[in-house]
Amino acid sequence: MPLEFENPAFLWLLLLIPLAVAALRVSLTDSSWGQRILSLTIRCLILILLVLSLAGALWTSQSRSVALWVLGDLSESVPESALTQITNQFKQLQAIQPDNSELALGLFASKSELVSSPTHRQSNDSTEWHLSTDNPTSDSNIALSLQHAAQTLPFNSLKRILLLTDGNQTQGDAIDTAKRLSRQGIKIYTKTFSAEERDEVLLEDLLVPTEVKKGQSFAVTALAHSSISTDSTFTLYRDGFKIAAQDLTIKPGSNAITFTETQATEGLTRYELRVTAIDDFYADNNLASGIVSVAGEPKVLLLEGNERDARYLARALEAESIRVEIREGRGMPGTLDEMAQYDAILFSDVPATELSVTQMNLLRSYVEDLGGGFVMIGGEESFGLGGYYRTAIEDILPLRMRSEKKKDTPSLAMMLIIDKSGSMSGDKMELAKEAAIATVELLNDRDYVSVIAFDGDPYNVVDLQSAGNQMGIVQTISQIQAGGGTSIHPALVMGQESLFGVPATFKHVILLTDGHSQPGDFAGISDRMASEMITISTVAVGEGADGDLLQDIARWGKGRYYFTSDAYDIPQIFTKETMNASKSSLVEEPFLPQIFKDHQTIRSIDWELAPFLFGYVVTTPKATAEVSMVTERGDPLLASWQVGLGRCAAFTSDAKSRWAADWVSWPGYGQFWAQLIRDVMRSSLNRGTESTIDSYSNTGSLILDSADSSGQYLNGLTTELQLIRPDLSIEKKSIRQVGPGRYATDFSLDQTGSYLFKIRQSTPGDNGEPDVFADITRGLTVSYKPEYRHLGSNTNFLQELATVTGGHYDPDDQTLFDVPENETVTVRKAIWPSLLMMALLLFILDVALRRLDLAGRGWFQDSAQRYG
Amino acid sequence: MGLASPIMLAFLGLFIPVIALYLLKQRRRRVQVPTLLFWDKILRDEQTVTSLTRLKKLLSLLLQLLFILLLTLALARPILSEGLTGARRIVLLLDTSASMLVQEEAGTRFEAAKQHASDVVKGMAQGDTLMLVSVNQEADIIRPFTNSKRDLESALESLRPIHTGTNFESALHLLDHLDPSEQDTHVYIVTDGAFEAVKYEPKESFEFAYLNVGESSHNVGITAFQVRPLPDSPRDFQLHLEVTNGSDQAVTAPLELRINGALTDAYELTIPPHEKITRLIRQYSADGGTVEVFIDHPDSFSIDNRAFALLAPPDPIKVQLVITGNLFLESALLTDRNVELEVVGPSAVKPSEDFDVTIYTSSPPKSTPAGNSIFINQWPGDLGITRTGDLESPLITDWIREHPINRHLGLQNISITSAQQLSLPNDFEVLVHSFESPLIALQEKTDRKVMIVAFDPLATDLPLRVAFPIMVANAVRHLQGSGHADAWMNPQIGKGFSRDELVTFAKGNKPRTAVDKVRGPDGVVQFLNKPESLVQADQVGLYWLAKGEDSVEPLFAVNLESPSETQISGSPTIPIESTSELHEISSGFRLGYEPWFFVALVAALLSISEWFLYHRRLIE
Repeated sequence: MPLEFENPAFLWLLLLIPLAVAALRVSLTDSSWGQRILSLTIRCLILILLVLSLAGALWTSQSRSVALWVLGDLSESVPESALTQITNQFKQLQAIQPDNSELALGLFASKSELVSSPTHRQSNDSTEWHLSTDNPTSDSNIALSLQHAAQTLPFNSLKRILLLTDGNQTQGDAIDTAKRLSRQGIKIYTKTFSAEERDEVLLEDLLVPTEVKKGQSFAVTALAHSSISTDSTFTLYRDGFKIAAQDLTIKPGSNAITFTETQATEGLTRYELRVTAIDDFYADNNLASGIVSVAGEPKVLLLEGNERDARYLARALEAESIRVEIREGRGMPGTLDEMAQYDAILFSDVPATELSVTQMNLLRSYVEDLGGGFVMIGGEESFGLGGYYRTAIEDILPLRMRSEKKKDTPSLAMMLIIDKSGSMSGDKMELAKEAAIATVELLNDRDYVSVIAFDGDPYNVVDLQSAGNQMGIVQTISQIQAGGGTSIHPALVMGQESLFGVPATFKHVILLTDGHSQPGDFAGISDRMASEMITISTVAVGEGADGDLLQDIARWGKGRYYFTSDAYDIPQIFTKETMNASKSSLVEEPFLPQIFKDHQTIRSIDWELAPFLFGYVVTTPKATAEVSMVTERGDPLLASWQVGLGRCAAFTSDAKSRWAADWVSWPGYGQFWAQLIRDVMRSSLNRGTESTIDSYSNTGSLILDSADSSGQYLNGLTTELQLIRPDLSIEKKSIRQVGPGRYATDFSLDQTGSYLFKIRQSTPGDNGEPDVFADITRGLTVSYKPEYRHLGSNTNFLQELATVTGGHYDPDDQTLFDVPENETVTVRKAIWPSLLMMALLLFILDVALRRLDLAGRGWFQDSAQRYG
Repeated sequence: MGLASPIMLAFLGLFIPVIALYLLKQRRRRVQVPTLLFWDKILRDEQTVTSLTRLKKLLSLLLQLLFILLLTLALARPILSEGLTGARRIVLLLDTSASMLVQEEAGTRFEAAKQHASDVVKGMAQGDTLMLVSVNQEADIIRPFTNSKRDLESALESLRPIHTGTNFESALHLLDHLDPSEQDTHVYIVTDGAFEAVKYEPKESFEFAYLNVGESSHNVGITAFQVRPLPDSPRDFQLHLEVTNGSDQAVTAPLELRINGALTDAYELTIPPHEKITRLIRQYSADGGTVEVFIDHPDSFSIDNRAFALLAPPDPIKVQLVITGNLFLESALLTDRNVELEVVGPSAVKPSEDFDVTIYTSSPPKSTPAGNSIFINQWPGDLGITRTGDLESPLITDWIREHPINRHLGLQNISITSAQQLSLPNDFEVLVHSFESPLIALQEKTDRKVMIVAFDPLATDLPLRVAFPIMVANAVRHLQGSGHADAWMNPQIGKGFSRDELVTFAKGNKPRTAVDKVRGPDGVVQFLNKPESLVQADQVGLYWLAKGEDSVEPLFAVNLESPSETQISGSPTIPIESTSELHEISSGFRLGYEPWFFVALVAALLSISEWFLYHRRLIE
C-alpha cells in the first residue's frame, strides 16, 4: 500500500476500536442491532481516520519528473563565446523540456548565482542573462556552484545538474563536492565549451629553493605546459637582469626546463623566467617568478645625488664588511621585494623630486613592516631642502624638516604664480593648491607671500602680505577654481609689480603651468626681475607644458627648472624651492660635533680627535627622537629612532668631500658610519632556522625547522610572522609549533605579486628582553592569476566529475530529461487534512444515524421483533 | 495565535445539520404491547424524567458540536508563534565533531543533540522543508531541503560524530546560497559550543536559534603530539607533547608512553587549571614502530587522552668505498649501524647511482660521476679545481661549526703532514680552512653533492681522533640527504587518503604497492579497490595495512590535536559573532508536534468517550 507513517507509534491508538466494540456489548441503547452495527462501523471508521492522521499518514507515489539546473562557467579562462553557448544550450533545453520537468539556469565564477528561476513549462523568452558585477571572474569555483544548486534543487524531483565549464577550477574541490552530492541522489552531467583550439604555451611554476647558503649552486626549474610542439625561448632574469636563455622545441604536455644558478647574489633575489613561443595565445601566463633568500653579508643601498661622491662612504663601509650598492636617486627601487634585498637604504643628498610618492610610501613600509633600516644624510638636496616636507619620509625620520627660524635669518618674499587654466582641473589643481599651502606653512612672520593665479588674465588670489596670517591665506588658496586659457606674461608682470619695493632680503617666484602660453616678452620681464634681484623657478607639469620657454625663463631668472609628469610631485617641488629660497635651513660654517647623549652608534670613537664639519641642514628633532650629537648652535646633527619594526637615522651634515672634507680621511669616519648603519640595519639573524614556503593554487604554507648548531631541535620558540601582501596589507600572526623543531602555518594567496615574510623567533631571555633566535625575511611570488594556469578544457576532470555521480560527460540534450525505468523518486504527501475531513463528514452521518429512527421506518425490521 | 488555513473554518457550518437533527422531534416508535397496565407508572414518572433527558440531550449535542469544533480547528491549523504565515524553511546545523562524544549524565552530547534535532524534524509543519547539515571538519549537507520527516529521521539516525574539529564557518557560509525568499527561514544550531569563535554576517534576516548540549567541563587532553627522529641520530627521536587542562582545577595525572605496545616510560604531569603544558621527551627505538601516549585521567572525554605516532625505521645509507687499503675509513663506516657498506677495489667500481655515497680514496674516475661522491686527495679534472702548490704541515685555522658535516667536531690541533694547496671554483663551500688554503670543501648541485678532502687522512692523526668517525658519519648522512624527509609528520585527521598517498606515508619503509585494505582504529576495514577510493581517517589512532583478519603493519596515525575540542566546557553562549540575534533555547526546541495534532488527539479521545457515554445512556 502506498501509505507511510511519520509517527507509526500512534497506530497503537487503533486499540480504541476494540474498546468501541466492547462498549456496544454493554450498550443500553434501544436501537436495532443493524443500526448499532452500522453506527459502530462508522464510528470505527472515524477513529481509524483520526488515528491515521495522528500517525502522520503519508501517501507515497513515485515521481519521474526531472529538475535540471544548468550551471554555466563565466570565469576568465572560458572562451569569449561562453555566455552565448550557455544561453543557447539553455534555450535548446527549454525547447524540449517535458511538461512535468523543471529547468533553471545558474552562472558562476568566484561565486554562484541562479539567474533564471525554475520554470515548469516550455518557454522561449528572449531574456539576456549575465553575471552580476560583484562576482569576480578571476576564479572558477565549481564546487561552490554545485553546492548552491544542491540547495535549490526541489526534493521531489529527479535532481540533475548540467555543468557547462572548461573544467579548470581554481577554488574548491568539485570532485569531493560531487561525491557528497551523489549521496543525495544528484546526478551531474558535464559539457565543455566548443572553442577553436588555441595554441598555448604557459609557465605553470618556477621552482626555486626558499633559501640557500652563500655560494651554493641550485636549480631553477620551470614547469612549462604546451598544447603544441613549438620553438620557444626561455629567458631567466635575476633581479631584472637577464642571466641565461635557452632555445628549445617544447613538446605538447608538460616540460621541465632547468637552469643552474651558481652566482646568486646575497639577500633576497628575485628570479623571473619568461617564455616566448612562436605560437601562443595568452601572454599573461608566460611569466613565472620566485624569490630565493641567499645568506650572506649585510647589503645596503646607497642613493647619492652625484654618484661619484658616494665613493668615500662606500669604501669606508666595505672596509667594515658591509656591502654597498650605489645608485643615483632615480635608481630607487619601485617594489617592496626589491627594497627587501637590502638591509638598509641610505639617502645622501637625494631630493624628494627624484622619487615618486609611491616609492616614498614603499620606503615607509620597508622600514615599518619589513624592519629595514633607513638613513638620511644631509646635503643641499636633503631634508627640507630636498623637498621632504610633509612626505612619508618625513614621517619616518626622527627630525622635522621645518626649522624654527632664528632671528638673524634673512627674510623672503615668495610669489607663487599658478596656472589655473581648464587643463589644470582635477588632481593637478588640488595638488597645486596643496603645494601652495605647504609653502605658506614653511614661511614665518617676517616673510612675505603672494599668490597669483592666471588663465587668460592674471588675478591676485593672495595679495602680497606677511606670511604670519597663515589661516587666512590657506583659506583663500583653497578657493581657486580651474578654468580658462593660458597667458603667462601678464602674470609675471603683475608679480614683478607687486614685488617691487618689498623690504625682503630674497625675492623668489615659482611659476607653475601645464600648457603653452600666449606669446609675450618673456626675456624682457625676466631680465627686469633679475635686475631687481627677483629669482624665478619654473615648474612644467606634464608633456603639454612649454618646456623650452620655462627652461629659458628659469635660466634668465637665475632659478631652477623642474619637469614632472606626475602631479603628485608638485608639493615636493614647491617645498624644496621654498626651503632653498629662504636659505634659512642651510648653515655653512665649520663646527665640531657635540655629544648630546651617549648612544651605541657613537661609542668607542675618539671624538676629541674628530675634525671640523663645514655645514649642515637645520631641522627640529621630534619628541621621541634619540638625538646623540648636535652642532655648536644646538641643532640636531645625529638622531635616530625606532619606527615600527625598523630603525631610522638622520645625519644632517654630509659624508662626502663638501662638508665632511676633513672627515673622510679621519680614522673614525669608517667606524662611525659602520656603527651607525649596523644600528639601523635590518637585523637578519639566523641561528639555525630553515624555512620552506610552498604554494598550492590559492593557499601557501610556511614551514620553519629550527635546530641549534649541535642538531638539537629548538622547541618552545615564540614565532611571530608578519606577512606583507602585494597590496602592502599586513597580516600578523603567531606560528604554532607543530612538532619537534617544527613551526608551520598556512595563508591565503589571493593576489598576484610578491609576498614578503618577516619571521622572528625568540625565547624569553633572562633579563626580560627576548633572546632572538632568528629574524629573517623570506619571499614568495605569485606570477599570474590561477585562472590563466590552465589550457583549454580539462575533459578528464569533467569526465571524472560526471562519473562519480552516475552522470555522463557531453550528454545529448534529450538524455538530460530521459528517465530510465528504475529511476524514480518517492514523493510523500501528508494526507491528514483529507482524513480529518472524511472523519467530519462521517461523523455527521453518525449523528444522523442516532437521531433518525431508521428501524421505525422499517429499515431494520428484524430488531423490532426483539421488543415483541 | 493564528490559523494557517482559516478557510477550513467553513466546516463549522456542519453545526447546522447537527443542531437540526437534535431539534427534529423524534417520532415515537410505534410498538404493539399486549397491555398498558405497566405503562401507567412510566407515564406518571415521565414528568420527572423529562428534565434529566433534556439535560442528557443537551450534553450530547454539546459533545458532538465540540467534536466538530475540534476537527475544524485542527483542519484550520492553529499557529502559536507570531509571524509564522507560510511554510517555513529550516536549516538544521548539527555538530558532529569529536567533542560531541563527551559523556554527559544522560548519554553523549551527540545523543542529546540528535534527540533535539529529531524534535525539530517532528515539529515540521505541512509545507515546511528542512535541510540537514552535519558540521564537523567540513560542513556536509546530509539532506537538502525536503519535507519528508521520515527521510530526515532516518538520515539523523545514521549520523555519527567523527574525531575531528568543528568548522562552523563553512557551515554558516552555506546559508549565503539561500535565495532571498518570502519563506521564513529558521536556522537551528545544535552544538556543544566547543569550536573556535567564528564571525558571521548573515545576508538575509534569518532567525537563528541554538541549543547548547554541553554541560560537563572536566577534561584533560592531548592537544599536540608529534614524534620526530633526531637529525644526527635517526634511531633517537623526540616527542613533542602538549597537554591541556580544560577544567577549573589543577590536575595531576600519569602519562604512559608505549613503544610498539610495550610500556616504556611513565611520567607524572601536573597541569594548572585552564592551562597547557608542553613536554619534550627523547626516546630510542632501533627499528621504528608505533608510539602511543596515554593520559590516565578519568574524564568525560576520552578521545583526546590518547595520541599515536609512527616511527619509520631509519633509512639505510648505501656506501661504496673504493679503496686501496684504508682500514681506518672502513672501520669508521662500519661503526655506523645505518651504513650498508660495500668495499670494492678500483677496478671493480660499480655505478655510483646505485649507492647513496661513493668514497674514492684513490683512482678517481676521469669525469665526476652522477650521484654523491667523496674524493680524498685525488679528484676528477672536470671539477675545475686547480692545484697551486703543496702545503707542509698546514694548521687548521677555521671550520664552519654550524655546518651539518662539522657538527660535534673538535678539529683543533690536528696534525696534518702535508696537503694540497688549492684554488676552488666559486660553487664550492669551504668547510675546513687552513691558513693558506681550503682543506675540506663541498659542492652541492641539484643532482649531486661532491666533497673533497685535500689531504690524505692517513698522513694525519685524524683517524685516531674521536672526531673522525663523527665526521665520516656526518658526511655520508649529509651527502645522502636524509633528515629532510617529512615522513615523520602525522597527517591531519579527517582527511581521505588515496592509495598513492598511503604509499608515500610509508616512505622510509620498504616500498609497498599492495595497499588495498586498511583497518582503522575502530577495527573497520576500508577497501581501496577503485582508483578513486579513499581511506577516511576520521578516528584517532593507528591505521593498519590489513590482510585477511590481521592488521599487518601500521601505515599512519592520526590524532585529534584540537585545543578547541579539548576545551569541552565551551562558553555559556556559542562562539558565533553575528549581527543577527542568536536566541538560546535552554531545553527543547519550540518546534514540536503542531497544535492541530493535539487538537485531533483530543478529538479522537472525545470520540471514543462520547461513544461510551452514549451506549451507557449517560447522554442521549
